Parts: sequence; structure tokens; C-alpha cells
Amino acid sequence: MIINILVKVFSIILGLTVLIKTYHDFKKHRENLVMFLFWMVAWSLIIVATLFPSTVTLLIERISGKGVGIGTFIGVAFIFVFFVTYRIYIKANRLEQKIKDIVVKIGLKDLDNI
Amino acid sequence: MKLAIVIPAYNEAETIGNVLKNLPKKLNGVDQIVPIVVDDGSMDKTYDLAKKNTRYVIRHVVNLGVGAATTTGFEAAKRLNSDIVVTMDADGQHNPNDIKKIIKPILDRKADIVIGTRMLTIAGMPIIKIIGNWFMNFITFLVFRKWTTDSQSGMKALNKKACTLMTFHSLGYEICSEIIGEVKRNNLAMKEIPIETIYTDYSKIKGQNWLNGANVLIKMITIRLLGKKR
Repeated sequence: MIINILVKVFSIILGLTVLIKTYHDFKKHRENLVMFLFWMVAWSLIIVATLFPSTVTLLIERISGKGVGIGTFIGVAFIFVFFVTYRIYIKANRLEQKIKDIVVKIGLKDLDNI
Repeated sequence: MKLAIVIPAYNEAETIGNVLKNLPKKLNGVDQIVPIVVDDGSMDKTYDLAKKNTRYVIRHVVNLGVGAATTTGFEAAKRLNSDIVVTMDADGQHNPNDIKKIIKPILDRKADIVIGTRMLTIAGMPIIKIIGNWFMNFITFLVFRKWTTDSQSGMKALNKKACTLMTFHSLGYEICSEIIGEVKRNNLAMKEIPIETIYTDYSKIKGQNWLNGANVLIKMITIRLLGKKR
């Protein structure tokens, strides 16, 4: 029971933090409208799912029938999240490398001016 | 024989001036000594103070990390046609008198790269650093299959061949381990020479911490798996 409440409180705090940050970024023109709406809807749904977990079970049953349990759904979700994390990590690494190449090149221009 | 001393520096205004002033002006077997400071986007007066003490100061427009700064330093040393490149820290933890010790095997053509190891004379080294260094040595060995007693040492000497063959992808402290990996990949002759470490309150704060160790590990694995394909 206590763990249940703690998980809910933690999820709500995390969700609200992301929502506030997204709103803040949108106001400062760091986020475009499409991405702002996407994150707002996605994290609002996460908060709702945390507060009313039975609705998630009902939804899965409606969509896939009785054959697919919540465990299977969570398993697939985990694989998806890990795949997305992996892709983001690879992309971030490539971007870091490109930034490094640019910064090194600009830096070495100082040498030409000496 | 031209010797380049590459010093990556980030917010080292407190020490960079003295580090440069204390560098040797003459060394046996060396005709010219060229200190190259790479200011890695410092927010203090590192650049100005370095510029007062050496001709070659290169500035990164943003802070990327010691790995990127070292890469820039190596590139600059190559462009200046240096025969030997020495790397040392800007926080004053290295004794400039050790430079002649670590370049000797290169001058004698007995090594392509020399690691200045702090682990053979650990007197004065904080216990947490000793454990951390051995842990990183072990991880470096696991990832790159090359053993050293001080994989994380910032004081190294490389000859022209090593400097030309090695390629780096590191941005941060993982460059120390990547260098060891490059030694193995290019089949370079490596030697280890004990060096002194000057531990001041300032130099103890600087450098790697435990949390960074985990980051270095992830980066090393990424470099090992993806590095040469990029």
C-alpha cells in the first residue's frame, strides 16, 4: 500500500516536472508547438495511467482482447524504451563527435594566426 | 629535435602561469621546446595568463573536455612538425623535471610512447585515488586488452610515429584509456617511467572523481564498439 502511494507520488512529481519544463521551454521558444503538444499529451497520459492503473488494464483488454496480459504489454514497452534510448545515445554520440571536429578545427585556426 | 608540451586547461587561471614558467627551457637531445596550451573554453583568465607565458595558445569556443583538448593539442603539435609530444596537466600536479625522464626512452629509440606512472611511487596519493586508478587500469585492460600501472596518467610522451598513427574519439577523461587502446591497436612500443605527483589541495579537487569512472567506462565501451566505424 505504502509502496503504491510512493510510486504514484514519485510518478506525479516526475510527470509534473517534465510538463513544467516543457511549458517553460515552449514559452522561451526553445520548443516548437508540435513537440510541446506531444510531450504535454504523453506525460499527461502517464500521470493519468499512474493514478488510475485499472484504466490501462481495461484499455489493453479492449484493444487486444483477453489474450494479452499487462505483463506482455510492459515487456514490449520496456523493449521499445530501451531501443529508443539506444538510438538517442548513438545519435548523441555522433553529434558530440561532429561538434568536437568543428571545435578542434576552429581552435586550430588560432595556430594559423600565430 | 623539436619537443611540444601539450597542456589542456579548463579554468586553471590559478596554476597555468606557474606551470608554464616552471617548464624546462633546455633539455639534452632537444633543440626546441614548444609549450602548447589548449584552453578548453575556460570562463576565467586561463587564456590571457597562458598567452602571457607562451606563444601557442589555442582556444576551444566551448568546453568539450580534456579528451577534445588533448586531440587539438596533438593536432597542433603535428602541424608544428614536432618530433616528440609530451602531455601534462595544467593543475600543477606534475613535476616539470620529470619531462626529461619520460622523453629519454623516445630519444634512445626504445619506445614510441612513454607513460609517466604515478602508481609505482604512491606515497602521498590519497587512498581513494589509488583504488580508483587500479579500478580504471582493470577496466582499461578489460576493454582494450593492454595492461598499464597508470592508465589515467596525464603525463605521457609520444614520438612522431605514435602521434601520427593514433586517432581519438574521446571528449573527456576516457582519452587516457583510449590512448592505451591505440597503443595496442597500432602495436606501438610502450614503456612506463615512475613520475612524481605533487598533491596540493587544488590538484586534489581537480581531476577525475568516482562518478566520472562510470561515465568513462560507458564511453570506453562505446569507443571500442563504434569508435573505428565512425
